[in-house]
Amino acid sequence: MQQFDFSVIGEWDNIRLLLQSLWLTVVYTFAGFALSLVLGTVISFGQMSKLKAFRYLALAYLSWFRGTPLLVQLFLLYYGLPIVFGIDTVPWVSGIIALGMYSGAYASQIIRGAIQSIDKGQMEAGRSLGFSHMQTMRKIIIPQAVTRMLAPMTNELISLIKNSSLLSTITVVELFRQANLMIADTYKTMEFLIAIAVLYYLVNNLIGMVGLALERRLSTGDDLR
Amino acid sequence: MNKWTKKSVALLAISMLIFLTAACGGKETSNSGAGQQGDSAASQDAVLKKIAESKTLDVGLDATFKPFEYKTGDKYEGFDIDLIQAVAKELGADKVNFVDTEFKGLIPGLQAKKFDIIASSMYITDERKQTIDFSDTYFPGGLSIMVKKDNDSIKGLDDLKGKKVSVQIGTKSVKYLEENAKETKLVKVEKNTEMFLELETGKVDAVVTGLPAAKTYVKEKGTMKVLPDTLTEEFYGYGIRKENAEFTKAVNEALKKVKDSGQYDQIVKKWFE
Repeated sequence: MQQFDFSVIGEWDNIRLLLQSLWLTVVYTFAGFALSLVLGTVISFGQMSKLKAFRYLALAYLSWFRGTPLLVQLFLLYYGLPIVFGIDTVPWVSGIIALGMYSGAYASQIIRGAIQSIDKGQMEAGRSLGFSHMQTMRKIIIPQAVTRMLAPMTNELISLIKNSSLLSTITVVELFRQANLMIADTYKTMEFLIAIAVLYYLVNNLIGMVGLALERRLSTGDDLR
Repeated sequence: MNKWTKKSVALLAISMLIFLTAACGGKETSNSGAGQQGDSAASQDAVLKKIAESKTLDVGLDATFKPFEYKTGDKYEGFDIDLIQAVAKELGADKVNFVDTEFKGLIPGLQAKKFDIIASSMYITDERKQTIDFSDTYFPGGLSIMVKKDNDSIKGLDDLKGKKVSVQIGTKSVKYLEENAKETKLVKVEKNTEMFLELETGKVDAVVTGLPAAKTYVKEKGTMKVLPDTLTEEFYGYGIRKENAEFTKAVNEALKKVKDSGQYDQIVKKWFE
């Protein structure tokens, strides 16, 4: 077995750079996730729309972004646009957009699934109270659906944090790339890999805990416990 | 779905990708065609013009290749770093702006105008020349075989038959071994450091990589050795977009000046002796 030398992690300079890049990872992921929620909502409502055109548009989006790997989408977006169309792209902006568009496809299915899981009787009840379709959606259906979205959305955010390591392929220096740069300098492979694994683990479990706490707060009944 | 709607769905999918990204992607380049106008005046070259205006040179590199380019803390260091800074000064750029990316992203990045030049120990090859241009060589390297210190069974290229050899994807080593050592099992990895790790953990029998990188690793780790005979003579060059022929000429002149003034020898001495 090889000798490990974890003292290299203890150096303040290394800690600072790792934490800095962890912060960037979190910022890019959350920005991407925010975009994904917006896109996901649009796509899910497009899919449930009565208009054929919207439905096909949403399906096309879904099939493309769920059907191709994130890595390919990143390359197409970041290198493809300037080469093919002469459109300049900024690395971190492209990264956030790619994360958002990719995750938006998945988020849309979470949102649609949650909304459609609400009993039809809820809509009927709302309508018979005199609410319009939109009002019933906003006041009765969506609040209930949001509770059901929490667990899968937490999942989606966590997997997005992990996927964000792919941004290293488009010149964005995030946690994974930073570790690789340090490994190339010091050859302390295992030490840095373990260090970033711990950091990813901590962040993702923190997100998981916040998700659970939110679920507990928003849940109304004690059923199925 | 009938045929027409199927087609339009596919079309929509593609156009949506383009529109969404174009809408939020960033600014349009205004002078993207400037380099191709064919005007012979030096100042017509888009990159030279940019250097004259901003006094900066944007350099693309994969900073995971000690001792040529690597990062210590926030700082880029290495032979390529020092040399390109000297060259940049001759070109009239006071500041060098490094853009770090993975090796396989360097040529697409150059084409996409993410930087002006590649300075990342890239071998000049005919295949690459079809896509980009190269400056004159600035350093001779060569492929060499690295094995574990206690391995006496591998003495040269012929001994690699049937053995597992780790190589970095997209590098010259892959091509060379595929042509000259057909019965070798290649294990292709993404990064230089992964190659060493493969050997370190006994997953492969040997590593084929550039001599300087192998030597540096051996010097730091001491668990490996580099075979004395190099497989090839290779030459490193700076990668430049084909449309910037004027800039290539200027880089070659700058390189010559750096060599003539003795700076080059100093940098070589600093990193390899």
